[in-house]
Amino acid sequence: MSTTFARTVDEAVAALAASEKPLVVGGGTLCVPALVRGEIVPADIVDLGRAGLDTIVDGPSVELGALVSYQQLLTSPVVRRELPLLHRLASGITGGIQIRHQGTLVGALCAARPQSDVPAAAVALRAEVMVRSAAGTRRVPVERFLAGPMTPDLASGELVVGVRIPRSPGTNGYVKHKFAESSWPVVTAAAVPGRVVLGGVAGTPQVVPIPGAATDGASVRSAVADHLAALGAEHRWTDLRAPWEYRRRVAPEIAARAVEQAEEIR
Amino acid sequence: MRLQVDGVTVQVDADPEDTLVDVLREDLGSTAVRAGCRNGDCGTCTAVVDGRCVKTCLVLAGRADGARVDTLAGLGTEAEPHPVQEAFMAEYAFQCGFCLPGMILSAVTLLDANPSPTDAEIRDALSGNLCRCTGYVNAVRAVRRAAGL
Repeated sequence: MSTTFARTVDEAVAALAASEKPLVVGGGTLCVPALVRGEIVPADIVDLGRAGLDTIVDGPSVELGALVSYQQLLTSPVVRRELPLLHRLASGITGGIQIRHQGTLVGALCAARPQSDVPAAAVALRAEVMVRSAAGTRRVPVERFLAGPMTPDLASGELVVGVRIPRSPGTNGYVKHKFAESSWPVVTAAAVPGRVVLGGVAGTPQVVPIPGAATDGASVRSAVADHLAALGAEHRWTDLRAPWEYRRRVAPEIAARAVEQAEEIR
Repeated sequence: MRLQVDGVTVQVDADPEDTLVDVLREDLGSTAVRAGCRNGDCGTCTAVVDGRCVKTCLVLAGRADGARVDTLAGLGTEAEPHPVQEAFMAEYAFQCGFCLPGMILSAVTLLDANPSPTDAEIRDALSGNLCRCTGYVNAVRAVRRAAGL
């Protein structure tokens, strides 16, 4: 097994292309324990820790490198100003100070776990995922990148170098429901003007349009309940924290709170 | 690989795909980081690596090559404990002490950034550490005491 601590993205991409079965290590919070347990048996490891991907670049969109940690999202004045929804999300990440220093938004997207904080928020913010390979860069809307539960749209030889998120400084809300401080979320809701996006109810984030005239709690609850009633059985999400029936019952209220939070800071 | 552990530079011949907790314990004999869950949950492998409070079971050793690693062992001495350590003793905030690397270093990191935290902020900062004997009430009280609140 070869282990490459890439100094540049090009070096990482070359190491990836040269391996039959590579493991890309970003923040390490999910894949390093899996590696230690032998659940992942890669032919080679490509570690991105030194590849210079931990930068936040302000522009028409805010660009977050793949190694930007939740702690950086918390302390960045750009994120606080231009993407307050992400600032709020980062302040509630499970795992204490240590995981905030180690976990990354891009890693959470690549893991594509339906119950995690990031997917629904990234969809609400219309993030674009920048995927690199030896062939070049392709930009994928995050809704398409999250192809299914634990299934990112990543082909062999590809890695994510960052995300671009249009500035969204105004009205927004983020509320999650979980059972204990150290638990994964059960249901998440990210509200931006015109829609609320739900995580933890289906294999992929669910977008529910919320017209400007229908932001009162009753209307939001009703729109979310209708959306979930129409959700195909094959998309309903259940995991050890809660069955689908529970998620279906609480999601309208979580969504209403996210929209209410957004309205309060309008 | 080369590390600076609690101010002392050391060379160690480790596999880059080992975890940092194992290098610190097995190769360097440190008992100030502990191997608990190896899953990033319990926090007892915590050290401050290049100024960032992290769980060393989640770090590949090769990534830490050249890094400065500050562990609980370098924080204070028996004669002169760090104020957070003193507060944990004064408030009976531990029994067996297994969780202390994470509890203490999280608390120190919190207070460095936020000298007057609220109880919610203290609980949040400590939430990456599991204690199975004392619980968390006295730990929160200890952090409050260390902050002079």
